[in-house]
Amino acid sequence: MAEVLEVIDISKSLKLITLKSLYLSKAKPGQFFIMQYQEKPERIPVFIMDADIERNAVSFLLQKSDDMVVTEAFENIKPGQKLHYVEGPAGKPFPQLEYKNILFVSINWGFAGIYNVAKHLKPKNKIDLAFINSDAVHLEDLRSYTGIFDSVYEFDSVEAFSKIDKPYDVVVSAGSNELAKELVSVYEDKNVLCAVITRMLCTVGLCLACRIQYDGKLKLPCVEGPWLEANKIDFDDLNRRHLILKEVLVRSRKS
Amino acid sequence: MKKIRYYDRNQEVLMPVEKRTKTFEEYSLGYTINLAIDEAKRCILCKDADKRCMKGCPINVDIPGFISKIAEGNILEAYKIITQTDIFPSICGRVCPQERQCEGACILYFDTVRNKRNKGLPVNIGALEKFVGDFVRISGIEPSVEVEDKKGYKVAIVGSGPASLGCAYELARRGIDVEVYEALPKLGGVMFYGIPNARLDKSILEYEINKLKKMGVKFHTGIVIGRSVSLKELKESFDAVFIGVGAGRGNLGIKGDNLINVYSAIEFLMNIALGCPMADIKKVAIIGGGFTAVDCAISAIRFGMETHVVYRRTRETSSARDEEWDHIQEEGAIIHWLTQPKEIIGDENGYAKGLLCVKMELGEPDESGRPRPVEVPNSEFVIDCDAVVLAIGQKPNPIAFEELNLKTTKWGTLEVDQHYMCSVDGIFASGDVVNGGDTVVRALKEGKEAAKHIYDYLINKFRRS
Ligand SMILES: Cc1cc2nc3c(=O)[nH]c(=O)nc-3n(C[C@H](O)[C@H](O)[C@H](O)COP(=O)(O)OP(=O)(O)OC[C@H]3O[C@@H](n4cnc5c(N)ncnc54)[C@H](O)[C@@H]3O)c2cc1C
Ligand SMILES: Cc1cc2nc3c(=O)[nH]c(=O)nc-3n(C[C@H](O)[C@H](O)[C@H](O)COP(=O)(O)OP(=O)(O)OC[C@H]3O[C@@H](n4cnc5c(N)ncnc54)[C@H](O)[C@@H]3O)c2cc1C
Ligand code: SF4
Ligand code: SF4
Ligand code: FES
Repeated sequence: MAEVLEVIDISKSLKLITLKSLYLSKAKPGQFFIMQYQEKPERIPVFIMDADIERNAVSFLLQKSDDMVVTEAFENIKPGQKLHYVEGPAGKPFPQLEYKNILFVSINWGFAGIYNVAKHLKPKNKIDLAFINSDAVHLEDLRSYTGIFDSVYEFDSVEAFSKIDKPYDVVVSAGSNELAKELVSVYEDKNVLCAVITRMLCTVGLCLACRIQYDGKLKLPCVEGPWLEANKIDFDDLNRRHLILKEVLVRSRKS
Repeated sequence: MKKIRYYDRNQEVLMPVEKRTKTFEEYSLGYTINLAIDEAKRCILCKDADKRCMKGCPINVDIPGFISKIAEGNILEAYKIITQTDIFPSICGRVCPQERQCEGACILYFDTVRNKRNKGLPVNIGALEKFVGDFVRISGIEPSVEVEDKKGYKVAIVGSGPASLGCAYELARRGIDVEVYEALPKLGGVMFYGIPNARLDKSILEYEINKLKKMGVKFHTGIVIGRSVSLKELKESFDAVFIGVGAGRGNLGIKGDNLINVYSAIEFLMNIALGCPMADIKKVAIIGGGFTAVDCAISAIRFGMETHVVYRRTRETSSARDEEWDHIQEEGAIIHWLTQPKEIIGDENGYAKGLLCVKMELGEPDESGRPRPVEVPNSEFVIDCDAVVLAIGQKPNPIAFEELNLKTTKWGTLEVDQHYMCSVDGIFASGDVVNGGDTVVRALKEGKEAAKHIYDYLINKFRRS
């Protein structure tokens, strides 16, 4: 059980929720957690956007979607209510590397993962943000959080986003596998790190549900990720499996 | 002299096949009190039971001791005798492979002293033990466990499978504060997420865990050691740490294992246990011949799937319970013995659509003394299916202990000394993560044994020389 401390409606499809949780509040940048609104899961992985160890609090961004059973429940979520279950922090923290110039690329809820990492890297690095608007999430919605970036660029689609003429040492993306795949082809000689999205079940490395092909080998993003080198990921394999699973899950939820 | 009743073994009442294939409720309905007393009377209470049934039992339950009490109608006393060694009679009575343990060494069936087959059927020790556990639970009797005075030490336990629960029980009983950290939302390890409800009702597990809670054991779920909290942090905030993370990591390793609808057994079973949505599968091929394969089959049948089990050896070499093979066969599973899967075949969209297999026959014995299966030439065939489940052995999952670089064996299991201590002082381990994967009762026993060494470490300041 985790008590909801605060709910901010960022936009029609985005909520910023703050929870009380001693363990989650110790999270390091780049980690995520699993939440279950009720006993019968959806077990939803979400990034920890901010962790406040003094208040024992963490906040996360939830992008509502028609496919989610819990969307309706989250519509009316209020402070004082409790989430049935949280698990984590899960995954490895963002690899603590020092770069000079970093380009963060965000789409959808990906901003939550990026924000926490960017904040952490800011003191020693130059950090820029390329924000790709989607139907659900617009840069405008998140303006109050983008102040930490040195420069912010806005795009209206992945296609509109092309090479930005700056010497980035690393490009970091979150929010979509398609985007990460696109970045590998745009920034072929750059180090592209992405938060890979796969279906997660156990989040402990037991079930292999999240498995991907990485550099020709099996990798488990729930424990070895989620931040992985995008050029090593077999996206065709991943997207095929993920899309199908999504279809299956949505179908089974609706029936 | 009393006549020995070699053959009239009482079987438990089973739910009819048509009914049980449609429900995840337990299908083995157990003994009535009369059947239990009658079965108890079959036991000839061997004086040398320690060389027979008791020796066959990994946790050495005093079998004639408890059975004689059932025969007298004193079930509570029988319960007390069992729980001196086996704290979970309702569970072990259900899940132990008795024919290879206690019952396989019952004199009516096999004379272990002369090492020869006897003419009869063993006493149904498993069913009797289950009866005793169930009787006490259902009657609402709350047998109390004496807990010693607090000793002022605290131990962290990682994982909540039988090894951890055995360890927690033993330490709590002796006045040590215990906190259990489990990654998953439910407690019990494989007993929760692996063994289907049809074989072990989850409420029994809950009951047993509640008993530990009443003894003061604290449980935390949703904590992944190695991620939420590091092992190092645990070590610093507790006087000792016990690792009972099992060997539950799923396994793949056949051509085509990345096709859509190919699952590890753990994913398949965990999906069901946690109530997560499942793909719509019509025909499934399950690869493997142990407990895990049988449990996947039990579950698949109950979802209405045409169920094939493919095993490269024979039934005699399987580690699953004998009667369960009978049960799934009655329920319609198609079992392919001596069949080696070679490749999962996919369609143009990447879905699994068949399993290519080859027939095997028994050849010369291998290192383990078992006849080695060899391929029958030109016997390839394809099992039509739209999903494949790999139930072929598990591996230890290192995330709890990788960061402290604890010594492991070449199989990835944790190396421990004779005191169950790992290569770092104060960290202990047992159960599947050490033995590589065996049974619930063995994990339970090894968890309890490790607890005794932890106690020694804390109280008597035992240190590795
Ligand atoms: C590491 C990681 C971090 C994430 N962080 C965030 C975040 O901060 N905020 C946010 O809003 N979303 C986040 N997500 C995505 C989020 O988990 C899913 O998007 C969400 O479960 C439902 O997404 P959807 O509506 O797009 O559903 P679909 O993808 O269409 O799927 C429908 C249903 O499938 C199930 N499902 C979908 N994705 C998953 C999954 N990954 N694991 C298990 N079941 C799943 C759910 O029941 C879901 O309702 C993250 C995902 C990952 C892997
Ligand atoms: C499907 C299946 C069916 C089986 N059926 C039978 C049977 O009928 N009879 C029988 O005797 N044996 C059976 N077995 C074997 C038996 O279940 C195991 O030998 C036994 O459960 C091992 O116990 P354990 O305590 O060592 O580990 P487990 O039961 O595996 O428990 C380990 C626990 O640790 C948790 N964990 C892992 N990593 C972490 C971490 N980093 N942080 C926190 N928690 C963690 C896991 O989530 C899990 O709950 C079966 C095994 C399987 C897989
Ligand atoms: S614990 Fe298992 S092996 Fe031992 S007597 Fe009971 S059922 Fe038999
Ligand atoms: S060996 Fe068989 S008959 Fe003898 S005590 Fe054990 S259960 Fe009873
Ligand atoms: S989600 Fe189970 S192994 Fe990654």
